[in-house]
Amino acid sequence: MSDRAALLELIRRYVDEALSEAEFQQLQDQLRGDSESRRLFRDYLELDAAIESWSDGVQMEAPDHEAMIASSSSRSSSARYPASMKRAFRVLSTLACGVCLIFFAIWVASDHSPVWATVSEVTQGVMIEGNGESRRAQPGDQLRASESIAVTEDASARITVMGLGSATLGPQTRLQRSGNGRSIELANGFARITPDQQKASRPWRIRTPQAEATVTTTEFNIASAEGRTALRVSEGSVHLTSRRSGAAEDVGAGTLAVVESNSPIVVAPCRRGSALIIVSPKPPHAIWNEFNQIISERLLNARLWQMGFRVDVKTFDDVQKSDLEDRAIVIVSLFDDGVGEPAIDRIELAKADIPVICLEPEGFPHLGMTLPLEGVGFGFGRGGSTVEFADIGHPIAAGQPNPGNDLLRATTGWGRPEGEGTLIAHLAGQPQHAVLFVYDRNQLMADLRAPARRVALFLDPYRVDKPRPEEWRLLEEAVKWCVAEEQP
Amino acid sequence: MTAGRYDRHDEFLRRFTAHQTAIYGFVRSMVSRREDAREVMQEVAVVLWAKFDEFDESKKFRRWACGVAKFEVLSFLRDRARDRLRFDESLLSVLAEEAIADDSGDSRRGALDGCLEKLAPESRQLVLNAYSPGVSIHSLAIARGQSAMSLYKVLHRIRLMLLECIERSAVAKGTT
Repeated sequence: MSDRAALLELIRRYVDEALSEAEFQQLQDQLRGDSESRRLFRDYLELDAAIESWSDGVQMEAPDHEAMIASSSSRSSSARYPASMKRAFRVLSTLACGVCLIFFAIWVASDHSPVWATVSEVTQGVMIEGNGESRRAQPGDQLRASESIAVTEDASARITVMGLGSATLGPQTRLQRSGNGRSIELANGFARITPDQQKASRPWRIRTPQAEATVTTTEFNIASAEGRTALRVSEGSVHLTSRRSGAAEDVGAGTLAVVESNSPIVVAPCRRGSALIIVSPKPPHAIWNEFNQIISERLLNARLWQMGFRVDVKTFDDVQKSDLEDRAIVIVSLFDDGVGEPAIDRIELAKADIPVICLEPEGFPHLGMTLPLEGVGFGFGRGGSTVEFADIGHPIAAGQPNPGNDLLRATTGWGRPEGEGTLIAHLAGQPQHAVLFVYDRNQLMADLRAPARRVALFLDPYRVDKPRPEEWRLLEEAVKWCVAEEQP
Repeated sequence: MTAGRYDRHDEFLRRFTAHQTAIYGFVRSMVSRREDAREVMQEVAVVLWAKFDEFDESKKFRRWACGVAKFEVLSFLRDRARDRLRFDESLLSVLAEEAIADDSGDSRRGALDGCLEKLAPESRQLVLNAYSPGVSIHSLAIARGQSAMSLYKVLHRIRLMLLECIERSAVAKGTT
């Protein structure tokens, strides 16, 4: 092989990212010592870049003046043509110029600012907005510096942020590039950031109205809504700064940090993983269908996402044991007799080392939380009832009015805690009929020890379409209590 | 943006798009990984626009832009100091200075389109496929029923043909 061919082979391997360390050193030595080698290297790399640009279809060459000059000089030879043909040429030239001007005007009006992200996956209800316009996002769409992506209430999206990695966007989210290069702004909503280990070696900044997170290769969830930023870190560490106070914390893996406008940064342990909600597919009672819809939507959109969780919803028919992997929490929704029990047993949820909130009294015994006899371990009644808090000091009961909360207006489902369970709230005047009770990890339940935290919480399906802040706070505090346990 | 700022933006875009291949080639020659080069190029575009008011209209845009890009590349590579496939700074400086001073690339780039046109249709299609974003040579090779190595070689031969064609065009136009 000639020296030139050998050098070209080294350059080829450089371009194709196939050089060994020794070959790289060989190439470096050759380039260092010889300007002709450097010239060849430069030409080859520039050719490679030019082909790449051509292939991308983004190459917009400046007008070729030589070609224009050649074209105008050839026009002078048209003297050989008859007058009618000259007139035809003039008409065609005028038309061609007009078309060119239209294309030029379109090109000038177009946005050629740098692309900062590409849309990978979208559901309906995801828009790209910018320059006073809005269009529906499609996979493959590019987001330019002047554009933001907006995800509406029941939608979600995944985008690839150039130089960072992938970002999964939850409902009611708006994300845009910030002023300088390695910064994005989450104006509202939820983003799960999974950096590309190869690309994101330099710090990125993710800004919300309340906080700024500085990260490199860390995987984390960040959410901003209602004047609050929540940050959950899965691995590595995130430097979090309050934009109002300037206070800063290094937030490590397995931690939830919350920044509110005027408060110090609150950091608490938090299980890793996402949330799973199991709901009924086609319940016989229309109200339960509505319940499931409201539970999942309200939880998804207004609560769990805002607390920094990615949320998946599965029906009792579809859920599998593998769906329990990498979960921070599971919520079992209401179901009719015979619908949910087989699923709870099939996926062995009772033994799972994952916190569970069960909203369905029929489900309590299948999770080992009560005795299996209806009327003894759990039961139902008709007619409204107020709720009394037996343990107002428990974190889940924080901020609840006591006594006299008419949480239950139409149906009254209840359970009776066993073993070392803690009764928090019960039907008024019926302390044996609990509507909220819990087991901490390893506490004795009806017939087994709790493998992780367990919460039994009955929410009236006839009430949930008219939620009040204190009712939803119960659910949110139950979630917080569940995920705050330290994993062994 | 004000009307004047729009004009300035258009002016920047006109110059940038005319020279972006040259600037990208410049970056690519100093950054070994294609993905990294794309990332740096994105940064360069942002910085060039931010600094465009400092550009002296009497100077060549490509030279100015490559000068700015050089600092972005060096900054990027310093962050990757532990990358083993990284040229040392003295060689990077020489590569950068020579590339900035060399204006012959303008006419060579103009010749590329003509040379691509001269490629056999199947070769042109292969190049197009191989350079498409997100396409790996390995998957393309499998789809074509050949090994990745042989595909790399075929692409190398096509690049060499294009280089030769560009050289000939440049000589014909009186520039080397």
